[in-house]
Amino acid sequence: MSDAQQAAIAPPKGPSWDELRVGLKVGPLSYLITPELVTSFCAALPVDAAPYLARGEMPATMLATDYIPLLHGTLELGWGLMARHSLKCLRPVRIGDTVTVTGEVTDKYERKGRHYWTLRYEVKDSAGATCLENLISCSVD
Amino acid sequence: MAAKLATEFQMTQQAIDAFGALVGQRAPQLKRTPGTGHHSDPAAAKSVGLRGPVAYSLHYYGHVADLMTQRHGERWLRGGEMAVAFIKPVCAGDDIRVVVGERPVQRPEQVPNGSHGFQVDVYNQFGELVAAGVATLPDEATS
Repeated sequence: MSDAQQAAIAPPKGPSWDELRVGLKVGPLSYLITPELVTSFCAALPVDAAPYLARGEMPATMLATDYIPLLHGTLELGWGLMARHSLKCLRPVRIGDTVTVTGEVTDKYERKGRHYWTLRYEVKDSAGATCLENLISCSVD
Repeated sequence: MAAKLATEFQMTQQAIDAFGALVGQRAPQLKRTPGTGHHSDPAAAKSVGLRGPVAYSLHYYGHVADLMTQRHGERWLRGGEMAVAFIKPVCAGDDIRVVVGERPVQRPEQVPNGSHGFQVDVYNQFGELVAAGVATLPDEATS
């Protein structure tokens, strides 16, 4: 087995679910929304980037994976699987704008012997208006 | 109301890796080592009970938002919502079908007052429901 495989399979290191505190605020993250980010996201799905670029708007779920950097250093995500996600779109995020992403751990619970956490996180535009509200629950083992 | 929306695609390992690289594009300190972890390495995936490298749930979830954006545009982007539960893992090589509005909303309580709801279903090549939920649009009068 390669070192990379051993590292991948080894138990996770870092803060555990037990140490996670409900009410903990995470972030902020800040990004300039570029056409390149939009193009990369659309290519990965894959979907057509042209309509987004033509409208000058970011796909609504482009920053949904920000729970990963938001929780980095706060919770070792390990082998968790996503249980549910919800998204509320309030206004489009414009390409060229700089957005801020912040979150709060709103719940942690056990179900059928597995540990879960819930994070609410939102994307605000440079004017401070909330554009997107996300709520995610995942297991962590 | 409009007919169903649908898309089909194969969740290739290349697509999983490309999606996984997006976080590293925004946060370079979180750049993934190619070929490692349960999203890319079959041995790592099988060690945690998966059939194979697992896709990111938000990967195929993104297709729901894209379908809603392409069909409903500003009405979706200014007041639209979606909520999806992930039921089974999607693994590399799976054929995925995302459909919105193919059957009645299964949990009407998820549709806020003043909104119109669409059932969201995601199936794999075995016909198994791997994710399900609802997407909603604000009524015309409130959007």
